[in-house]
Amino acid sequence: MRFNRCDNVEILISAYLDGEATESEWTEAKRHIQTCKSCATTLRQFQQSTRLYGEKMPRRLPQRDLWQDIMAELEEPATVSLRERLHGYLQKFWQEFVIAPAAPVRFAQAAVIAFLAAFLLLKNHDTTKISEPLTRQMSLDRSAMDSDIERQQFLQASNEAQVKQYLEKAGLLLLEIKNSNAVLEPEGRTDLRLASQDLLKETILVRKTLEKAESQTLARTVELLEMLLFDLANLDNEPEDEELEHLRAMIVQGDLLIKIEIYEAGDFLAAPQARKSTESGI
Amino acid sequence: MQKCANEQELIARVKSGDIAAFRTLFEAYHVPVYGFVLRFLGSAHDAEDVTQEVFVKAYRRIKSLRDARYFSSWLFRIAKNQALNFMERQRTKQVDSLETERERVERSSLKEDPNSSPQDRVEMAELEDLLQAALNELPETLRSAFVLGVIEGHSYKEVAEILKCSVGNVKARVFRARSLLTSKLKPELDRV
Repeated sequence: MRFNRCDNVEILISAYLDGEATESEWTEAKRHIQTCKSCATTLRQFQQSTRLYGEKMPRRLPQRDLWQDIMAELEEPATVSLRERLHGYLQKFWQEFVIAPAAPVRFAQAAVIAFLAAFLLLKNHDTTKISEPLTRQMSLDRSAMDSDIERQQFLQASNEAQVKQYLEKAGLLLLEIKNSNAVLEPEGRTDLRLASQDLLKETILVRKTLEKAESQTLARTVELLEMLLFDLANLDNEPEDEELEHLRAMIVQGDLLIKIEIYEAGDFLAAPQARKSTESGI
Repeated sequence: MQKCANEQELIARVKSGDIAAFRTLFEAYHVPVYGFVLRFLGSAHDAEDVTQEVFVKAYRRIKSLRDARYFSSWLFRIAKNQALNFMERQRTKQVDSLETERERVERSSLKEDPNSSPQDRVEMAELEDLLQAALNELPETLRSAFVLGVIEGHSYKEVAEILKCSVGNVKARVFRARSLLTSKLKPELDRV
């Protein structure tokens, strides 16, 4: 899949500065940089910022004797959390009752299994009779639980940091797709589908948050991402050329919109009033 | 990245309770771990506390490390998680985790170069603050990748092991971090 070349070259420049680009990759990138003013600027700026972080952020040493404090803390009895305790009990149970049970335990296990088997055989008829209303009741309970969970998730998603994080995640996924050609390669498609399904769930929550925040530009970006992720989550094993072309265009568009939101509209989650002023160019 | 001789043997000894072996591992790793936590949190005092927590936790949990070859990634993963936990605790306590004025003055008076003037040292400290402030503004996912891969000099493969993601993802995170930092530091870059 061919994407905007500058995007790929910029990533290569970054990797090259960390010694993570192969010689052939870099030779090809250099050829592009010689003819592209924008990438040449990126190379210069990346070199400068990398130098700044390398030279002006010297390695610091701790000012106090950490070893002494570590030793003092290790001498105190460790506080064991409830989770760790439960883990310990489970491990013990697993070892003593499942992996290597003693002879009396084995007899008891056999007796319990026999009793359960007999019980199920005798109750088989009744079980099928009650199974339908029970299932209906269970599904009602579940839908009530689902709406509760949804409400909780909605509340969680309505904070600014989460939306920012979501955009970063979506941006990284699209960037990774662009770099790895995962859409084209059959072996990458399963991972891609799973990653898209996960992010799709988050997208729906974020979209609801944005509806509430009246952030129209960002809401449109998220809407496009939702459509794209839906397509990626349901990507066929043998996609048509036309479908790939469509996905490619949407990936480029989605990536671009995320960049605009992250890089240019830094105040994207400002109060609705401020956002409106920005959008109307005031 | 710094590796100690016979690391696997040392880890086996630590698993059987050998404190001297643990001290050797501590000596080899506490500076890079502290460096990572310092740049991740942005405060020397907090970084010291978190580094201490990291090594206490590492000692207590070392039996859960199945493959000693991955000790370094495992240790840095603990460091990242402890730093995140610390940030979460700070958020709930609503305490400002940024460096105090006292720390800043102490740091600016550290002798980087015996020939540098006091004014140079203050300027250096100010620039360092500026670089750290730009780092602090990055999302945590990008900051951890940038600090590990660029400042601490781990390979992308090591960073991927620590952050439990693919090498492609590390490449993308470092690139995004670099782009954001470059745009934040534009005025400084023009002066370099």
